[in-house]
Amino acid sequence: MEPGIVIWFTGVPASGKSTLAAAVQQRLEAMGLPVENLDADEVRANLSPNLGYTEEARDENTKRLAWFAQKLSGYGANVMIAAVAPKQAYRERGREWCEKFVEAFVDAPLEVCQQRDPKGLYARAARGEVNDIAGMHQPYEAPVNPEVHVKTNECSIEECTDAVMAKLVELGYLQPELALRQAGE
Amino acid sequence: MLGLFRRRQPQTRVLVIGLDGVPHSLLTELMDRGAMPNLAEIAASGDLRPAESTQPTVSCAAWTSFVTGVNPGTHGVFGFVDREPGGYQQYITGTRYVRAPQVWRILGERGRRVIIMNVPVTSPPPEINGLLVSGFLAPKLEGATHPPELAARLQRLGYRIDIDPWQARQSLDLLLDDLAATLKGRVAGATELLTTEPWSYAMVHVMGTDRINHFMWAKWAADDPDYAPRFVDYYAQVDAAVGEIAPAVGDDVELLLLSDHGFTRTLHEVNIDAWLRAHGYLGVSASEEAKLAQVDESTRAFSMTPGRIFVNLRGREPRGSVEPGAEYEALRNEIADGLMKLTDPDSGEPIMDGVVGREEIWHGEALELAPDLLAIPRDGYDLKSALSGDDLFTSSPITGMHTFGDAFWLIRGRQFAEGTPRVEDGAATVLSLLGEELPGHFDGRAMV
Repeated sequence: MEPGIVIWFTGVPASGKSTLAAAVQQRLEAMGLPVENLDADEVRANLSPNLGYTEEARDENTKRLAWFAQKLSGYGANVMIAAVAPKQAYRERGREWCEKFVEAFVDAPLEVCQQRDPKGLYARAARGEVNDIAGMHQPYEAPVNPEVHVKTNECSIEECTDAVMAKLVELGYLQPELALRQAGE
Repeated sequence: MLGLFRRRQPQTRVLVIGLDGVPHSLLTELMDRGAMPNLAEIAASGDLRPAESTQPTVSCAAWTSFVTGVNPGTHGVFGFVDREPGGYQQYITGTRYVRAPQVWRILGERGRRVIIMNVPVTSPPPEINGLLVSGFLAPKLEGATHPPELAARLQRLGYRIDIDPWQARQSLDLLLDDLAATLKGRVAGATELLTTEPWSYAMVHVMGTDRINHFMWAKWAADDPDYAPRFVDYYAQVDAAVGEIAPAVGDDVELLLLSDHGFTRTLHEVNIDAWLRAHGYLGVSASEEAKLAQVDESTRAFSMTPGRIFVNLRGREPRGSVEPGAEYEALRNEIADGLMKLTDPDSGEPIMDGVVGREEIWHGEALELAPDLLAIPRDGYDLKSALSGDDLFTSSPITGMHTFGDAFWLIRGRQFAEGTPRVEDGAATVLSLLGEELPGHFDGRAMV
């Protein structure tokens, strides 16, 4: 069976990973392709509720995500992973294990992410309730050579989605006719 | 040659030092004890007055009022977290959300150069005519300065934007070390910039005073043998900081010091969400994951810290349930009446000083961001909004809370105008001291 695509959306909290992953999922599903969205928050809540945000816990969590993505993509599912994965090594594991791997760097300045704060995470940090935010308290290693790099404070969600879709075509993971037909051309 | 004969007044310069959350009553007590000799000397030569804050009494709203000269209904900052108009999304406030021009923008347009250090609600750093380092809530020094290369210069001087609030919650000793180091960096940074750069207006903000008050007020109030002296010692450090910065800039500089609100001991934290839920107004069940985005038609009102109550209005909120007009007004009255009856479980004293409609205390273009009601507590009752809990009265490591009254204003070498200074008098006062014309839109007045 032709393996599915695995896209790892990485970036600091509130950079727009989940939003972009859902938008790409919607596009792929509209083409009739099967998609599984491994949103890190949901996966954590359901599979690893006791896993924290220490270095060891992040290592473990990203390993589980990569393993799942490999299994699912093996059955032809296209997998979206929206997870900070602050170390290059965590994402590289996904690249190693998954045949059609795409690292998508979801990028926005820290001040912008902080003000968006959809989960109230940065607000909790300001109150001293958390001190384990990647990019703020813990280092975030920006991707060295990602397949896609989108700046969510400069581009609309549609433009960012277009950039990811164009890369899938360019990499030969998506048939151009299918992508174009879906775009209504 | 003509220039030689032209009479030129030396340009007045103004330095404002903000000491966040320092009460007038504390300041006078510490001066009397001899713990703050530099401030006492300034007061002897000038004027020290009790002053008033803004509503709600939070630093982000108050300092934005100081620098814009207008009320929150015009500048649009009501808390450190605000709500998108007509929705359930919240955001942390910052530069982009301030809807009125700050005094540095007005001065910049008139060709005056400024240095702004650590003032709240200046993140991300705006491009101004001069230098700026963002204050409270800026996530890191890197990326928090204008121009960007200023960050490295400040870093070398040991400059920090704020203490680490996580450490503060772990231990008071860590907090005290962190406060001292942060203040030291602030003095080094301010002295360096104010003595080597040209400026006509400068503003240096100290957040540490508010921080220590939040975490250690009860120790001070109870005269704790270990920590009350260390609380006083921090204030002595702040006094020494003023004693270092003020002479460095010179006596010819107009010097204004002030706080944005007063402080008092917390008797109880009161969770307004728990009250709204218990009275059937709030439909979101208590849980760790509860958030405003879960508000649906079962909710008639929800709240945000401190005491900001929003009606879930049909046609305005996406899942609004209350009809505009008579039903809206009736609900506001009902909630206000109910909250006014709330009493302290220990003393039986009322908790609220008042519960007011938005149009009664604010006015302006940003009123759409305001809550429909503001609950104003009596001193000692700290209003919180936490969807996660059902307990009306809660406690936390925070032992002190803001007050509307008992802030202070202190000016060197001159007297204030008649009356009690209010925080929104800031911009007009600064422009007057500089001999600049006042724009017509200010709510505040010049206090000199």
